[in-house]
Amino acid sequence: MNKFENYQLEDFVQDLFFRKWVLGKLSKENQFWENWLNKFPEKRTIVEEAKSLVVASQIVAIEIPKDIVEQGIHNILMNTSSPTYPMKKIKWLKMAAMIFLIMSVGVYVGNRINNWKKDLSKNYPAKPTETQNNGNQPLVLQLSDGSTVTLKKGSNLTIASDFGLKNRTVYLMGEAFFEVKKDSKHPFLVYAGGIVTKVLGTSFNIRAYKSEAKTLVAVRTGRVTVYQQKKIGSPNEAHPEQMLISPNQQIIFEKRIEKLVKTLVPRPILLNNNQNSKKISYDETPISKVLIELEQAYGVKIIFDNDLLAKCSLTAVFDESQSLYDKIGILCETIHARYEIMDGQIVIYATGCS
Amino acid sequence: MDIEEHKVKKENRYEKDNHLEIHTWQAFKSGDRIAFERLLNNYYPNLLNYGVRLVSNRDFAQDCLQDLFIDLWNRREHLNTPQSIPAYLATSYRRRLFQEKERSFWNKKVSNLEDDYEIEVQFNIESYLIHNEIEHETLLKLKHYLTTLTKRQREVLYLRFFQELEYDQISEIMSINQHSAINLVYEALKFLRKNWVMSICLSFLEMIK
Repeated sequence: MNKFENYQLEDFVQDLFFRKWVLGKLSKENQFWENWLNKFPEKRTIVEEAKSLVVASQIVAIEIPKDIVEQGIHNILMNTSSPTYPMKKIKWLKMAAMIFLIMSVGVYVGNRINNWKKDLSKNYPAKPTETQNNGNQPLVLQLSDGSTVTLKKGSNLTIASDFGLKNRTVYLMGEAFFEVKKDSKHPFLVYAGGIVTKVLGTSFNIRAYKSEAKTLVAVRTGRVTVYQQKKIGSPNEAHPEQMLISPNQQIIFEKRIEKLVKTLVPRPILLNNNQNSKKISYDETPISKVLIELEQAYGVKIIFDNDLLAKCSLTAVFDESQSLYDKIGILCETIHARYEIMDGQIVIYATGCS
Repeated sequence: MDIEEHKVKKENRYEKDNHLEIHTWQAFKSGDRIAFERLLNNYYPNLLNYGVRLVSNRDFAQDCLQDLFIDLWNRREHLNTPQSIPAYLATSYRRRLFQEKERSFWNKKVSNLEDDYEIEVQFNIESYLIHNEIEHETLLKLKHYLTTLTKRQREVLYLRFFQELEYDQISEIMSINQHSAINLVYEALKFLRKNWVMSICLSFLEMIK
Protein backbone atom coordinates (compact mmCIF):
# COMPACT_ATOMS: atom_id res chain seq x y z
CA MET A 1 0.00 0.00 0.00
CA ASN A 2 3.05 2.24 -0.17
CA LYS A 3 2.48 2.96 -3.83
CA PHE A 4 3.29 6.66 -3.64
CA GLU A 5 6.22 6.17 -1.27
CA ASN A 6 8.09 4.24 -3.92
CA TYR A 7 7.21 6.68 -6.66
CA GLN A 8 10.03 8.05 -8.84
CA LEU A 9 9.82 11.46 -10.43
CA GLU A 10 8.25 10.17 -13.66
CA ASP A 11 5.72 8.17 -11.70
CA PHE A 12 4.47 11.32 -10.06
CA VAL A 13 4.42 13.34 -13.26
CA GLN A 14 2.32 10.80 -15.15
CA ASP A 15 -0.06 10.08 -12.25
CA LEU A 16 -3.48 11.53 -13.02
CA PHE A 17 -4.36 12.05 -9.38
CA PHE A 18 -1.08 13.85 -8.70
CA ARG A 19 -1.48 16.04 -11.82
CA LYS A 20 -4.98 16.99 -10.76
CA TRP A 21 -3.60 18.21 -7.45
CA VAL A 22 -0.76 20.21 -9.04
CA LEU A 23 -3.08 21.82 -11.57
CA GLY A 24 -5.62 22.70 -8.88
CA LYS A 25 -8.30 20.37 -10.17
CA LEU A 26 -8.98 18.61 -6.89
CA SER A 27 -11.70 19.85 -4.60
CA LYS A 28 -10.62 22.01 -1.66
CA GLU A 29 -11.69 19.32 0.80
CA ASN A 30 -9.31 16.82 -0.72
CA GLN A 31 -6.20 17.31 1.39
CA PHE A 32 -4.68 13.97 0.45
CA TRP A 33 -1.39 15.29 -0.91
CA GLU A 34 -0.89 17.86 1.84
CA ASN A 35 -1.41 15.14 4.42
CA TRP A 36 0.81 12.77 2.55
CA LEU A 37 3.64 15.32 2.43
CA ASN A 38 3.31 15.93 6.14
CA LYS A 39 3.68 12.23 6.68
CA PHE A 40 6.65 11.89 4.35
CA PRO A 41 8.50 15.24 4.55
CA GLU A 42 11.56 13.69 2.88
CA LYS A 43 9.54 13.51 -0.34
CA ARG A 44 9.14 17.27 -0.60
CA THR A 45 12.06 17.75 -2.99
CA ILE A 46 10.97 15.15 -5.47
CA VAL A 47 7.39 16.40 -5.30
CA GLU A 48 8.48 19.97 -6.01
CA GLU A 49 10.48 18.74 -8.98
CA ALA A 50 7.56 16.72 -10.22
CA LYS A 51 5.26 19.69 -9.84
CA SER A 52 7.37 21.84 -12.11
CA LEU A 53 7.52 19.08 -14.69
CA VAL A 54 3.76 18.74 -14.59
CA VAL A 55 3.37 22.42 -15.30
CA ALA A 56 5.96 22.35 -18.05
CA SER A 57 4.47 19.31 -19.71
CA GLN A 58 0.95 20.65 -19.56
CA ILE A 59 -0.54 20.76 -23.00
CA VAL A 60 -1.46 24.09 -24.52
CA ALA A 61 -5.19 24.21 -25.10
CA ILE A 62 -6.64 24.72 -28.55
CA GLU A 63 -9.53 27.08 -28.07
CA ILE A 64 -12.71 25.92 -29.72
CA PRO A 65 -15.41 28.58 -29.31
CA LYS A 66 -18.38 27.46 -27.25
CA ASP A 67 -20.89 28.34 -29.94
CA ILE A 68 -19.05 26.13 -32.45
CA VAL A 69 -19.42 23.20 -30.06
CA GLU A 70 -23.06 24.01 -29.37
CA GLN A 71 -23.82 24.38 -33.06
CA GLY A 72 -22.12 21.05 -33.73
CA ILE A 73 -24.20 19.26 -31.13
CA HIS A 74 -27.35 20.97 -32.38
CA ASN A 75 -26.65 19.86 -35.96
CA ILE A 76 -26.27 16.26 -34.87
CA LEU A 77 -29.53 16.38 -32.95
CA MET A 78 -31.32 17.91 -35.95
CA ASN A 79 -29.83 15.36 -38.31
CA THR A 80 -30.81 12.40 -36.20
CA SER A 81 -34.38 13.46 -35.61
CA SER A 82 -35.16 13.21 -39.33
CA PRO A 83 -34.26 10.50 -41.80
CA THR A 84 -32.51 12.90 -44.21
CA TYR A 85 -28.84 12.22 -44.55
CA PRO A 86 -26.44 15.18 -44.54
CA MET A 87 -26.29 16.33 -48.14
CA LYS A 88 -22.67 17.28 -48.51
CA LYS A 89 -21.51 13.70 -48.14
CA ILE A 90 -23.57 12.38 -50.98
CA LYS A 91 -21.76 12.06 -54.26
CA TRP A 92 -23.63 12.72 -57.51
CA LEU A 93 -24.21 9.05 -58.27
CA LYS A 94 -25.71 8.45 -54.87
CA MET A 95 -27.65 11.65 -55.33
CA ALA A 96 -29.19 10.37 -58.57
CA ALA A 97 -30.13 7.13 -56.88
CA MET A 98 -31.63 9.08 -54.05
CA ILE A 99 -33.68 11.27 -56.37
CA PHE A 100 -34.96 8.19 -58.17
CA LEU A 101 -35.84 6.61 -54.85
CA ILE A 102 -37.53 9.74 -53.55
CA MET A 103 -39.56 10.04 -56.74
CA SER A 104 -40.66 6.41 -56.62
CA VAL A 105 -41.59 6.75 -53.00
CA GLY A 106 -43.40 9.97 -53.86
CA VAL A 107 -45.44 8.31 -56.58
CA TYR A 108 -46.21 5.39 -54.29
CA VAL A 109 -47.19 7.58 -51.38
CA GLY A 110 -49.22 9.80 -53.71
CA ASN A 111 -51.19 6.77 -54.91
CA ARG A 112 -51.70 5.61 -51.38
CA ILE A 113 -52.98 9.01 -50.32
CA ASN A 114 -55.36 9.09 -53.27
CA ASN A 115 -56.63 5.63 -52.40
CA TRP A 116 -56.98 6.65 -48.81
CA LYS A 117 -58.91 9.74 -49.78
CA LYS A 118 -61.13 7.62 -52.03
CA ASP A 119 -61.72 5.22 -49.15
CA LEU A 120 -62.63 8.11 -46.95
CA SER A 121 -65.12 9.52 -49.40
CA LYS A 122 -66.56 6.06 -49.97
CA ASN A 123 -67.24 5.62 -46.28
CA TYR A 124 -68.41 9.09 -45.52
CA PRO A 125 -70.35 10.90 -48.15
CA ALA A 126 -69.90 14.30 -46.51
CA LYS A 127 -66.54 15.97 -47.07
CA PRO A 128 -63.96 16.28 -44.32
CA THR A 129 -62.84 19.78 -43.40
CA GLU A 130 -59.20 20.49 -43.85
CA THR A 131 -57.30 23.37 -42.26
CA GLN A 132 -53.76 24.24 -43.27
CA ASN A 133 -51.87 26.77 -41.18
CA ASN A 134 -49.73 28.68 -43.66
CA GLY A 135 -49.23 31.64 -41.36
CA ASN A 136 -46.28 32.31 -39.11
CA GLN A 137 -48.28 32.08 -35.90
CA PRO A 138 -49.94 29.06 -34.31
CA LEU A 139 -53.56 28.85 -35.33
CA VAL A 140 -56.23 28.16 -32.71
CA LEU A 141 -59.15 26.10 -33.98
CA GLN A 142 -62.43 25.65 -32.12
CA LEU A 143 -64.03 22.30 -32.88
CA SER A 144 -67.77 21.67 -32.82
CA ASP A 145 -67.51 19.66 -29.58
CA GLY A 146 -65.89 22.54 -27.69
CA SER A 147 -62.34 21.22 -27.95
CA THR A 148 -59.55 23.51 -29.10
CA VAL A 149 -56.60 22.65 -31.30
CA THR A 150 -53.56 24.91 -31.51
CA LEU A 151 -52.10 24.15 -34.91
CA LYS A 152 -48.39 24.99 -35.29
CA LYS A 153 -47.26 26.76 -38.43
CA GLY A 154 -47.02 24.61 -41.54
CA SER A 155 -49.23 21.95 -39.99
CA ASN A 156 -52.46 20.55 -41.30
CA LEU A 157 -55.55 19.27 -39.51
CA THR A 158 -58.37 17.39 -41.17
CA ILE A 159 -61.59 16.88 -39.30
CA ALA A 160 -63.43 13.73 -40.33
CA SER A 161 -66.86 14.27 -41.81
CA ASP A 162 -68.45 12.02 -39.21
CA PHE A 163 -66.78 13.94 -36.36
CA GLY A 164 -68.88 13.55 -33.22
CA LEU A 165 -71.23 10.84 -34.52
CA LYS A 166 -69.53 7.89 -32.89
CA ASN A 167 -65.99 9.06 -32.46
CA ARG A 168 -64.41 12.45 -32.74
CA THR A 169 -61.79 11.73 -35.41
CA VAL A 170 -59.17 14.14 -36.74
CA TYR A 171 -56.04 13.68 -38.90
CA LEU A 172 -52.91 15.65 -38.19
CA MET A 173 -49.83 16.35 -40.26
CA GLY A 174 -47.26 18.38 -38.37
CA GLU A 175 -47.58 19.52 -34.78
CA ALA A 176 -50.52 20.61 -32.63
CA PHE A 177 -51.57 21.01 -29.02
CA PHE A 178 -54.98 19.57 -28.19
CA GLU A 179 -57.31 20.52 -25.34
CA VAL A 180 -60.12 18.05 -25.56
CA LYS A 181 -63.51 18.60 -24.01
CA LYS A 182 -64.53 15.66 -21.85
CA ASP A 183 -67.05 13.36 -23.50
CA SER A 184 -66.67 9.74 -22.49
CA LYS A 185 -69.28 8.57 -24.99
CA HIS A 186 -67.40 9.94 -27.98
CA PRO A 187 -63.69 9.13 -27.88
CA PHE A 188 -61.45 11.72 -29.48
CA LEU A 189 -59.07 10.10 -31.97
CA VAL A 190 -56.04 11.71 -33.60
CA TYR A 191 -54.45 9.91 -36.54
CA ALA A 192 -50.92 11.19 -36.99
CA GLY A 193 -47.55 9.88 -38.15
CA GLY A 194 -48.44 6.20 -38.01
CA ILE A 195 -50.13 6.18 -34.64
CA VAL A 196 -53.55 6.77 -33.20
CA THR A 197 -53.97 8.74 -30.00
CA LYS A 198 -57.21 8.12 -28.19
CA VAL A 199 -58.48 10.31 -25.38
CA LEU A 200 -61.68 11.06 -23.55
CA GLY A 201 -60.88 14.53 -22.23
CA THR A 202 -57.42 15.89 -21.66
CA SER A 203 -54.69 18.10 -23.08
CA PHE A 204 -51.68 16.85 -24.98
CA ASN A 205 -49.28 17.68 -27.77
CA ILE A 206 -48.64 15.68 -30.93
CA ARG A 207 -45.66 16.19 -33.16
CA ALA A 208 -45.93 14.26 -36.41
CA TYR A 209 -43.97 15.87 -39.22
CA LYS A 210 -43.69 13.76 -42.31
CA SER A 211 -39.99 14.59 -42.58
CA GLU A 212 -39.19 13.35 -39.09
CA ALA A 213 -38.37 9.79 -38.13
CA LYS A 214 -40.52 9.94 -35.05
CA THR A 215 -43.97 10.84 -33.89
CA LEU A 216 -44.21 12.25 -30.38
CA VAL A 217 -47.20 12.42 -28.09
CA ALA A 218 -46.73 14.30 -24.82
CA VAL A 219 -49.42 14.59 -22.18
CA ARG A 220 -50.12 17.78 -20.21
CA THR A 221 -53.22 16.70 -18.27
CA GLY A 222 -55.37 13.60 -18.08
CA ARG A 223 -54.64 10.29 -19.71
CA VAL A 224 -54.04 9.31 -23.30
CA THR A 225 -54.01 5.98 -25.08
CA VAL A 226 -51.73 5.48 -28.06
CA TYR A 227 -51.49 2.64 -30.53
CA GLN A 228 -50.14 2.01 -33.98
CA GLN A 229 -52.38 2.96 -36.83
CA LYS A 230 -51.76 -0.11 -38.97
CA LYS A 231 -52.52 -2.48 -36.12
CA ILE A 232 -55.96 -1.26 -35.21
CA GLY A 233 -59.15 -3.12 -35.71
CA SER A 234 -61.96 -0.94 -34.54
CA PRO A 235 -60.73 2.16 -32.77
CA ASN A 236 -62.99 1.46 -29.83
CA GLU A 237 -61.56 -1.96 -29.06
CA ALA A 238 -58.73 -2.27 -26.61
CA HIS A 239 -55.60 -2.87 -28.63
CA PRO A 240 -53.09 -5.37 -27.20
CA GLU A 241 -50.11 -3.08 -27.82
CA GLN A 242 -51.75 0.13 -26.80
CA MET A 243 -49.95 2.30 -24.29
CA LEU A 244 -51.45 4.53 -21.67
CA ILE A 245 -49.60 7.69 -20.73
CA SER A 246 -50.28 10.27 -18.06
CA PRO A 247 -49.07 13.85 -17.47
CA ASN A 248 -45.41 14.55 -18.21
CA GLN A 249 -45.06 11.24 -19.97
CA GLN A 250 -44.40 10.98 -23.65
CA ILE A 251 -44.69 8.35 -26.34
CA ILE A 252 -42.10 8.13 -29.05
CA PHE A 253 -43.10 6.21 -32.13
CA GLU A 254 -40.23 5.26 -34.38
CA LYS A 255 -41.72 5.05 -37.81
CA ARG A 256 -38.96 2.96 -39.35
CA ILE A 257 -39.02 0.16 -36.82
CA GLU A 258 -42.64 0.72 -35.84
CA LYS A 259 -41.96 0.71 -32.16
CA LEU A 260 -43.66 2.63 -29.38
CA VAL A 261 -41.47 3.74 -26.48
CA LYS A 262 -42.77 5.31 -23.32
CA THR A 263 -40.58 7.93 -21.68
CA LEU A 264 -40.81 11.27 -19.87
CA VAL A 265 -41.08 14.67 -21.52
CA PRO A 266 -37.79 16.61 -21.61
CA ARG A 267 -39.13 19.25 -19.22
CA PRO A 268 -41.77 17.96 -16.84
CA ILE A 269 -44.06 20.69 -15.50
CA LEU A 270 -45.80 20.97 -12.17
CA LEU A 271 -49.37 19.74 -12.40
CA ASN A 272 -50.72 22.54 -10.29
CA ASN A 273 -49.47 25.77 -11.78
CA ASN A 274 -49.73 27.91 -8.69
CA GLN A 275 -47.18 25.65 -7.04
CA ASN A 276 -44.70 27.05 -9.49
CA SER A 277 -43.75 30.09 -7.49
CA LYS A 278 -43.49 28.17 -4.29
CA LYS A 279 -40.15 27.55 -2.66
CA ILE A 280 -40.01 24.31 -0.75
CA SER A 281 -37.38 23.84 1.90
CA TYR A 282 -36.54 20.53 3.41
CA ASP A 283 -34.78 20.16 6.71
CA GLU A 284 -33.74 16.62 7.55
CA THR A 285 -36.92 15.52 5.81
CA PRO A 286 -37.20 11.76 5.17
CA ILE A 287 -36.33 11.05 1.54
CA SER A 288 -39.45 8.97 1.02
CA LYS A 289 -41.58 11.97 1.97
CA VAL A 290 -39.73 14.19 -0.53
CA LEU A 291 -40.13 11.60 -3.27
CA ILE A 292 -43.85 11.23 -2.63
CA GLU A 293 -44.25 15.02 -2.76
CA LEU A 294 -42.35 15.21 -6.06
CA GLU A 295 -44.40 12.34 -7.40
CA GLN A 296 -47.61 14.18 -6.61
CA ALA A 297 -46.37 17.56 -7.80
CA TYR A 298 -45.36 16.25 -11.23
CA GLY A 299 -47.69 13.28 -11.49
CA VAL A 300 -44.71 11.13 -12.39
CA LYS A 301 -44.42 7.73 -10.77
CA ILE A 302 -41.23 7.40 -8.74
CA ILE A 303 -40.23 3.89 -7.78
CA PHE A 304 -37.96 3.36 -4.79
CA ASP A 305 -37.32 0.93 -1.98
CA ASN A 306 -38.99 2.37 1.07
CA ASP A 307 -37.14 0.18 3.57
CA LEU A 308 -33.77 0.92 2.03
CA LEU A 309 -34.34 4.67 2.19
CA ALA A 310 -35.79 4.58 5.69
CA LYS A 311 -32.75 6.24 7.22
CA CYS A 312 -32.13 8.75 4.43
CA SER A 313 -33.05 12.39 4.75
CA LEU A 314 -32.69 15.57 2.74
CA THR A 315 -31.85 19.14 3.65
CA ALA A 316 -32.29 21.38 0.63
CA VAL A 317 -34.33 24.19 -0.90
CA PHE A 318 -36.14 23.53 -4.15
CA ASP A 319 -37.57 26.32 -6.25
CA GLU A 320 -39.12 26.95 -9.64
CA SER A 321 -35.77 27.38 -11.39
CA GLN A 322 -34.98 23.70 -10.93
CA SER A 323 -36.44 21.07 -13.18
CA LEU A 324 -37.69 17.76 -11.89
CA TYR A 325 -34.45 16.17 -13.06
CA ASP A 326 -32.38 18.78 -11.17
CA LYS A 327 -34.29 18.01 -8.02
CA ILE A 328 -34.00 14.25 -8.40
CA GLY A 329 -30.30 14.72 -9.22
CA ILE A 330 -29.66 16.70 -6.02
CA LEU A 331 -31.57 14.16 -4.02
CA CYS A 332 -29.65 11.25 -5.51
CA GLU A 333 -26.34 12.95 -4.93
CA THR A 334 -27.19 13.47 -1.29
CA ILE A 335 -27.90 9.82 -0.68
CA HIS A 336 -25.34 8.44 -3.18
CA ALA A 337 -28.01 6.97 -5.37
CA ARG A 338 -28.68 7.14 -9.09
CA TYR A 339 -31.85 7.21 -11.12
CA GLU A 340 -33.13 5.88 -14.40
CA ILE A 341 -36.07 6.84 -16.50
CA MET A 342 -37.74 3.62 -17.44
CA ASP A 343 -41.06 3.12 -19.11
CA GLY A 344 -42.10 6.68 -18.26
CA GLN A 345 -41.26 6.29 -14.60
CA ILE A 346 -38.35 7.34 -12.45
CA VAL A 347 -36.57 4.48 -10.73
CA ILE A 348 -34.23 5.28 -7.83
CA TYR A 349 -31.35 2.92 -7.21
CA ALA A 350 -29.97 3.46 -3.75
CA THR A 351 -27.76 1.63 -1.34
CA GLY A 352 -29.33 3.09 1.78
CA CYS A 353 -28.01 5.40 4.46
CA SER A 354 -26.55 4.71 7.86
CA MET B 1 -4.14 4.29 5.60
CA ASP B 2 -4.64 7.48 3.69
CA ILE B 3 -3.50 5.81 0.56
CA GLU B 4 -5.78 2.90 1.02
CA GLU B 5 -8.66 5.21 1.59
CA HIS B 6 -7.80 7.20 -1.48
CA LYS B 7 -7.55 4.10 -3.58
CA VAL B 8 -10.87 2.73 -2.46
CA LYS B 9 -12.54 6.07 -3.02
CA LYS B 10 -11.02 6.40 -6.44
CA GLU B 11 -12.10 2.94 -7.48
CA ASN B 12 -15.60 3.44 -6.19
CA ARG B 13 -15.87 6.67 -8.06
CA TYR B 14 -14.58 5.16 -11.23
CA GLU B 15 -17.07 2.35 -10.96
CA LYS B 16 -19.93 4.69 -10.16
CA ASP B 17 -19.11 6.96 -13.08
CA ASN B 18 -18.67 4.03 -15.36
CA HIS B 19 -21.93 2.54 -14.22
CA LEU B 20 -23.79 5.76 -14.94
CA GLU B 21 -22.15 6.01 -18.34
CA ILE B 22 -23.05 2.45 -19.22
CA HIS B 23 -26.59 3.17 -18.16
CA THR B 24 -26.72 6.27 -20.37
CA TRP B 25 -25.35 4.21 -23.22
CA GLN B 26 -28.02 1.59 -22.82
CA ALA B 27 -30.75 4.20 -22.67
CA PHE B 28 -29.32 5.73 -25.84
CA LYS B 29 -29.39 2.32 -27.50
CA SER B 30 -33.07 1.99 -26.69
CA GLY B 31 -33.75 5.28 -28.47
CA ASP B 32 -33.75 7.67 -25.53
CA ARG B 33 -33.06 11.14 -26.94
CA ILE B 34 -32.20 12.58 -23.56
CA ALA B 35 -29.49 9.97 -23.13
CA PHE B 36 -28.19 10.71 -26.62
CA GLU B 37 -28.04 14.39 -25.82
CA ARG B 38 -26.22 13.60 -22.59
CA LEU B 39 -23.64 11.56 -24.49
CA LEU B 40 -23.16 14.45 -26.91
CA ASN B 41 -22.72 16.97 -24.13
CA ASN B 42 -20.29 14.71 -22.29
CA TYR B 43 -18.07 13.65 -25.16
CA TYR B 44 -18.47 15.98 -28.13
CA PRO B 45 -16.24 18.82 -26.87
CA ASN B 46 -13.30 16.57 -25.92
CA LEU B 47 -13.58 14.49 -29.07
CA LEU B 48 -13.61 17.60 -31.23
CA ASN B 49 -10.53 18.85 -29.42
CA TYR B 50 -8.80 15.56 -30.21
CA GLY B 51 -9.94 15.63 -33.82
CA VAL B 52 -8.74 19.18 -34.39
CA ARG B 53 -5.32 18.14 -33.14
CA LEU B 54 -5.21 15.10 -35.38
CA VAL B 55 -6.17 16.81 -38.62
CA SER B 56 -5.66 20.50 -37.81
CA ASN B 57 -8.74 21.42 -39.80
CA ARG B 58 -11.70 22.23 -37.63
CA ASP B 59 -14.38 21.95 -40.30
CA PHE B 60 -13.14 18.58 -41.41
CA ALA B 61 -12.86 17.34 -37.82
CA GLN B 62 -16.35 18.59 -37.07
CA ASP B 63 -17.87 16.99 -40.18
CA CYS B 64 -16.36 13.64 -39.32
CA LEU B 65 -17.55 13.88 -35.74
CA GLN B 66 -21.05 14.72 -36.90
CA ASP B 67 -21.07 11.72 -39.25
CA LEU B 68 -19.81 9.51 -36.44
CA PHE B 69 -22.61 10.48 -34.08
CA ILE B 70 -25.28 10.25 -36.79
CA ASP B 71 -24.01 6.77 -37.64
CA LEU B 72 -24.04 5.79 -33.99
CA TRP B 73 -27.62 6.98 -33.67
CA ASN B 74 -28.73 5.13 -36.78
CA ARG B 75 -26.98 1.92 -35.79
CA ARG B 76 -27.68 2.25 -32.06
CA GLU B 77 -29.63 -0.99 -31.75
CA HIS B 78 -26.80 -3.02 -33.20
CA LEU B 79 -24.05 -1.50 -31.09
CA ASN B 80 -22.42 -3.39 -28.28
CA THR B 81 -21.91 -1.80 -24.91
CA PRO B 82 -18.21 -0.98 -24.78
CA GLN B 83 -16.08 -1.41 -21.69
CA SER B 84 -15.05 2.20 -21.79
CA ILE B 85 -17.26 4.65 -23.62
CA PRO B 86 -14.70 7.47 -24.01
CA ALA B 87 -12.14 5.02 -25.38
CA TYR B 88 -14.68 3.49 -27.75
CA LEU B 89 -15.75 6.87 -29.06
CA ALA B 90 -12.19 8.14 -29.45
CA THR B 91 -11.17 4.94 -31.26
CA SER B 92 -14.08 5.14 -33.69
CA TYR B 93 -13.50 8.84 -34.27
CA ARG B 94 -9.77 8.44 -34.87
CA ARG B 95 -10.35 5.63 -37.35
CA ARG B 96 -13.01 7.63 -39.18
CA LEU B 97 -10.81 10.71 -39.40
CA PHE B 98 -8.01 8.74 -41.05
CA GLN B 99 -10.36 6.92 -43.40
CA GLU B 100 -12.02 10.13 -44.52
CA LYS B 101 -8.67 11.79 -44.89
CA GLU B 102 -7.37 8.95 -47.00
CA ARG B 103 -10.48 9.13 -49.15
CA SER B 104 -10.11 12.85 -49.73
CA PHE B 105 -6.45 12.26 -50.58
CA TRP B 106 -7.42 9.78 -53.28
CA ASN B 107 -10.08 12.03 -54.62
CA LYS B 108 -7.52 14.74 -55.09
CA LYS B 109 -5.12 12.19 -56.60
CA VAL B 110 -2.55 12.99 -53.99
CA SER B 111 -0.65 9.86 -53.18
CA ASN B 112 1.53 11.14 -50.40
CA LEU B 113 0.22 9.04 -47.58
CA GLU B 114 3.60 8.43 -46.02
CA ASP B 115 3.00 11.24 -43.66
CA ASP B 116 -0.01 9.40 -42.35
CA TYR B 117 -1.12 11.91 -39.77
CA GLU B 118 -0.14 14.89 -37.74
CA ILE B 119 -0.85 15.75 -34.19
CA GLU B 120 -0.76 19.24 -32.93
CA VAL B 121 0.35 19.11 -29.33
CA GLN B 122 2.31 21.90 -27.84
CA PHE B 123 3.59 21.78 -24.30
CA ASN B 124 3.49 24.68 -21.94
CA ILE B 125 7.27 24.83 -21.81
CA GLU B 126 7.53 24.92 -25.61
CA SER B 127 5.19 27.81 -25.99
CA TYR B 128 7.05 29.57 -23.20
CA LEU B 129 10.42 28.99 -24.84
CA ILE B 130 9.18 30.03 -28.25
CA HIS B 131 7.39 33.03 -26.90
CA ASN B 132 10.31 34.32 -24.89
CA GLU B 133 13.01 33.32 -27.38
CA ILE B 134 15.20 32.00 -24.62
CA GLU B 135 18.74 31.37 -25.79
CA HIS B 136 20.05 29.18 -23.03
CA GLU B 137 22.07 26.20 -24.17
CA THR B 138 20.24 23.62 -22.07
CA LEU B 139 16.89 25.01 -22.98
CA LEU B 140 17.80 25.10 -26.65
CA LYS B 141 18.60 21.44 -26.35
CA LEU B 142 15.29 20.86 -24.69
CA LYS B 143 13.49 22.83 -27.34
CA HIS B 144 15.21 20.81 -30.00
CA TYR B 145 14.27 17.59 -28.30
CA LEU B 146 10.68 18.60 -27.99
CA THR B 147 10.50 19.13 -31.73
CA THR B 148 11.87 15.63 -32.23
CA LEU B 149 9.21 13.94 -30.16
CA THR B 150 7.44 11.48 -32.41
CA LYS B 151 3.80 11.86 -33.29
CA ARG B 152 3.00 8.78 -31.27
CA GLN B 153 4.74 10.19 -28.23
CA ARG B 154 2.90 13.45 -28.60
CA GLU B 155 -0.41 11.70 -29.04
CA VAL B 156 0.16 9.46 -26.03
CA LEU B 157 1.17 12.42 -23.89
CA TYR B 158 -1.86 14.31 -25.11
CA LEU B 159 -4.26 11.48 -24.30
CA ARG B 160 -2.68 11.01 -20.88
CA PHE B 161 -2.14 14.61 -19.84
CA PHE B 162 -4.96 16.42 -21.62
CA GLN B 163 -7.74 13.86 -21.92
CA GLU B 164 -6.65 12.23 -18.64
CA LEU B 165 -7.26 8.69 -19.82
CA GLU B 166 -6.07 5.43 -18.31
CA TYR B 167 -3.36 3.49 -20.15
CA ASP B 168 -5.72 0.68 -21.16
CA GLN B 169 -7.98 3.26 -22.79
CA ILE B 170 -5.04 4.91 -24.55
CA SER B 171 -3.76 1.60 -25.87
CA GLU B 172 -7.21 0.83 -27.25
CA ILE B 173 -7.49 4.18 -29.00
CA MET B 174 -4.06 4.08 -30.60
CA SER B 175 -4.14 0.30 -31.14
CA ILE B 176 -0.83 -0.28 -29.43
CA ASN B 177 -0.25 -2.45 -26.40
CA GLN B 178 -0.47 -1.01 -22.95
CA HIS B 179 3.25 -1.36 -22.25
CA SER B 180 4.13 0.66 -25.32
CA ALA B 181 1.78 3.39 -24.19
CA ILE B 182 3.36 3.51 -20.75
CA ASN B 183 6.86 3.38 -22.23
CA LEU B 184 6.21 6.25 -24.61
CA VAL B 185 5.17 8.47 -21.71
CA TYR B 186 8.07 7.47 -19.49
CA GLU B 187 10.67 7.91 -22.24
CA ALA B 188 9.55 11.44 -22.88
CA LEU B 189 9.47 12.29 -19.20
CA LYS B 190 12.92 10.79 -18.58
CA PHE B 191 14.41 12.97 -21.22
CA LEU B 192 12.78 16.04 -19.79
CA ARG B 193 14.16 15.15 -16.40
CA LYS B 194 17.72 14.61 -17.65
CA ASN B 195 17.79 17.92 -19.44
CA TRP B 196 16.26 19.84 -16.70
CA VAL B 197 17.93 22.72 -14.96
CA MET B 198 16.01 23.12 -11.78
CA SER B 199 16.76 26.77 -11.23
CA ILE B 200 15.64 27.80 -14.66
CA CYS B 201 12.68 25.57 -14.36
CA LEU B 202 11.70 27.25 -11.13
CA SER B 203 12.13 30.71 -12.51
CA PHE B 204 9.98 29.63 -15.39
CA LEU B 205 7.36 28.59 -12.90
CA GLU B 206 7.56 31.95 -11.17
CA MET B 207 7.08 33.75 -14.44
CA ILE B 208 4.04 31.96 -15.64
CA LYS B 209 2.27 32.33 -12.34
